[in-house]
Amino acid sequence: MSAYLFRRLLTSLLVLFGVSILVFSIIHLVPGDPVSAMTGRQKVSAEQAAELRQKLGLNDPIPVQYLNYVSKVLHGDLGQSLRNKVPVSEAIVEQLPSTIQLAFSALVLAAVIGLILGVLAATRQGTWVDSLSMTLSVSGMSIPTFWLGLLFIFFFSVRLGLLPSTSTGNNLKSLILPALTLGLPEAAIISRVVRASMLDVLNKEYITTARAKGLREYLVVLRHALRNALIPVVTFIGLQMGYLLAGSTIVESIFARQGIGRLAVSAIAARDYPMVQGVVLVTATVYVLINTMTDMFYSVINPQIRLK
Amino acid sequence: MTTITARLAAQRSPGSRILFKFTRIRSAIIGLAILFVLIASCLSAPLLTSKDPIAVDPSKALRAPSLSAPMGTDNIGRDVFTRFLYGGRISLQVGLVAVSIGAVAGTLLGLISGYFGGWLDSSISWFIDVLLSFPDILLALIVVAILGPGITNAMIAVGISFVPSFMRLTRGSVLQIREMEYITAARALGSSSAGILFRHILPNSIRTLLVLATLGIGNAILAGAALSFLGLGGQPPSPEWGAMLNAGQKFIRQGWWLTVFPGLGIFLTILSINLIGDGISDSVSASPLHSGG
Repeated sequence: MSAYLFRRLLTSLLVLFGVSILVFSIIHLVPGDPVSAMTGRQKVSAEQAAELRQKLGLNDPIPVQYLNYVSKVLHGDLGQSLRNKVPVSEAIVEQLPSTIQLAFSALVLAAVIGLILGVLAATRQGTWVDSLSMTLSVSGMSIPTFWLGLLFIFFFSVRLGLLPSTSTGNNLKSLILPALTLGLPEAAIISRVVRASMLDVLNKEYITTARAKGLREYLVVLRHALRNALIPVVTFIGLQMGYLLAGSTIVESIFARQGIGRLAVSAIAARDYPMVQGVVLVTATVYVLINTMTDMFYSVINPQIRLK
Repeated sequence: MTTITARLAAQRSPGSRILFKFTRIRSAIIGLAILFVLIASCLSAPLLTSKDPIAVDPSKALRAPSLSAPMGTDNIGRDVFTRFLYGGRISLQVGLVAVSIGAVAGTLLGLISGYFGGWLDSSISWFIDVLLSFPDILLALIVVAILGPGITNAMIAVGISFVPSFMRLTRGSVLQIREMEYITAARALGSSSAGILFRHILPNSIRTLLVLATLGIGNAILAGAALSFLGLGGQPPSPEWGAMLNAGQKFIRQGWWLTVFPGLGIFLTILSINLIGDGISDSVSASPLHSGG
């Protein structure tokens, strides 16, 4: 047990080490000189360029630069935005709650809808209910989030005037459309996983036993089948959290909503490299942590994994 | 009649048996038909429309769909139908190029990793794990951040995000094939490593790789369009579908057709590829070859 967890943690640390190298390299991989990449079209004098070079530590050997970068990051210093001179970590801390709120609401929505659709489809396999939910599911998986968001804005904001098309502040009403946009495609994928897992469990002998002893069908489904079918589903949902964080990039752009996704896109467009590095580092780290925790959770509830 | 064809099908090779099953799945055939119509109309764009996708005509701005302009016109009077057809070509190209980049790089890495093993395998696998720690679009965003916005860079960016899946698939099948007797025989006959990899191992995994590539095209189109929608891929006046949506969203109050049609194009393309993909996996798992798994 602890040997598996130790190995899993070690892998994650190695991956995070790689992530830090990759994020550190961004600024060096930009074609041309890092300084001219950061100043962009702005005219800078040779002295200013030299000063910036000195300030960013670009005169040191690359490994030294990397070590400096890591030690700064570990102290919570992600550098300074080139655009508005704010500390990157401050900007991220300011934007993160909005993204987490969006991703979490979408996840809850996706889990609830996905579970209902998946269980309905599995318990009525081969009927029109099954076909309908699987048609909805394949459509949901194919719909681009940015188009879904625009369609929602068109119907609910422009035509019906029910919900706001932009999502600012902590207004719960303005969270509905973004959460639906991010959550529905996810619900489609989850419903497929639920259906497959339920079908698997419903064929087990203990289900036949439960039915044979005269248990009502809804109790068989809820108490015996669903509980066991949920194990792979919970893991899957955990792994999707990271995708929702990344997917918020698009949704935040559509609804002009605050968040680190929008921060990333505007930073890329403005060539604000320290900001890009900071956002990428934080998102990837959160993603790795979520995946590690999900794997560990899975190994705790499913002993077969530990024996591999 | 159907029983005879079914019996005939059973006598054919596993490949044609799978194909036979596939043609029995209605949704897969619908998917194939939608995809065919989309590709055919985009490829024959000059035959279907005589207009120019970037020709501006302010006197015809924001006209609703009509007989002369089936998808309406945009804010500067360009014909949306014409732009849709030419934009589809770009989107398909993004899908094909991106998947090719991912397939070639990922397959090479997978071959090397699986065949040579040892520290080479460990370091390549570590690299792939690092790539996988960036969820989907984030990896593409990093590459665009490095290379700068633009449609070519978007193709490269999406391509790189496809490397891990091809690498893992190839590595897995190499590990399986590597220990087979005919590989030992080839080695005993003095074949070089490269010869074994490309003449004996690669052809054996090519079928699964092709399936992965075909299904990947849909996701690649989606990712490319997402980058364009964020303003980081195809730039105006390009009629790339994502770029059209990006430009059209500002006019959502004045002209729904500017956001509905390009998005519909992306949706139908991906839907058809997903339906085909489901058909393939259903028919493969239903074939006697795979009944054990």
